[in-house]
Amino acid sequence: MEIKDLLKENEHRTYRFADGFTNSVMERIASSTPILVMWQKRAIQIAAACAILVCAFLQTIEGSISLDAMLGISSYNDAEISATENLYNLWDQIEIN
Amino acid sequence: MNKAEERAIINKIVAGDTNSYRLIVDALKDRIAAVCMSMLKNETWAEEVGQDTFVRLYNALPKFKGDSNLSTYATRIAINLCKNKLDSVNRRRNRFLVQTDSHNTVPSSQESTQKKLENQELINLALDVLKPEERSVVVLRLMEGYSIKETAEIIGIKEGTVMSKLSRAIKKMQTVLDDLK
Repeated sequence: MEIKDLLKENEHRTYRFADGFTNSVMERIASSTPILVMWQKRAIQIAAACAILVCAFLQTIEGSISLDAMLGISSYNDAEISATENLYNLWDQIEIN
Repeated sequence: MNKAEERAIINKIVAGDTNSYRLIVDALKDRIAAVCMSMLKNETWAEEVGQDTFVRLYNALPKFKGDSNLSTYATRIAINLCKNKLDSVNRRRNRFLVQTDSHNTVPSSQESTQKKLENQELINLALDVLKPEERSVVVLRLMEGYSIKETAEIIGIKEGTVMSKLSRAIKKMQTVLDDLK
């Protein structure tokens, strides 16, 4: 007995889903769509709330919501940083003495 | 349904006319039923996987660009879901076999019922020894009549791989039949 012959005999066998198949699919789609839309809306709301919080945080801490502030890049220039460092060194010297 | 009609219906569905999806389901359900039943050999699972296929297809419609036929695309989804189902069934079956082995239970012999087996049952028995991917090649090429090219496209492998998997699968299935003699 050859498997190829057996398969050939069964080639045109037809299968059908139960009668209410299309309705079941349509019901599943109808019930899943609002949930999907609801979650999309919720995700957008959460993303918007996070963006507002980040802006408020930057405004409070950095005094700016510029790109530099968002990336954590200092807005002080080199001269200002070295002046502050010198001041701290001076304080240390005074404390030691 | 020709390609232009198919595209028009898809556009309507994507625009929010969910009810038009009924036309797509009605047009493709027999083909999907044949693939799912041939792959799974179980009506309940086939119905379950068939429904999942159409729900997934619906969710994928906004991304469907029309590079392949919608029926090929739907068959690909069905085959993948059938493979997942077979994997999970095999995992469960293996777990069960490990448990029964420890109780020295001998699997029931199929030889005694060999003469009563009809052709379909013989095919089912032979299909059982195949890995899910080999089974999908046999089902699509030899049972559903897809060409080598279409089979390769649906499964997402090269045509040469389809042919080598097919010949390996036929050898395995033939061994099962020969053992039953």
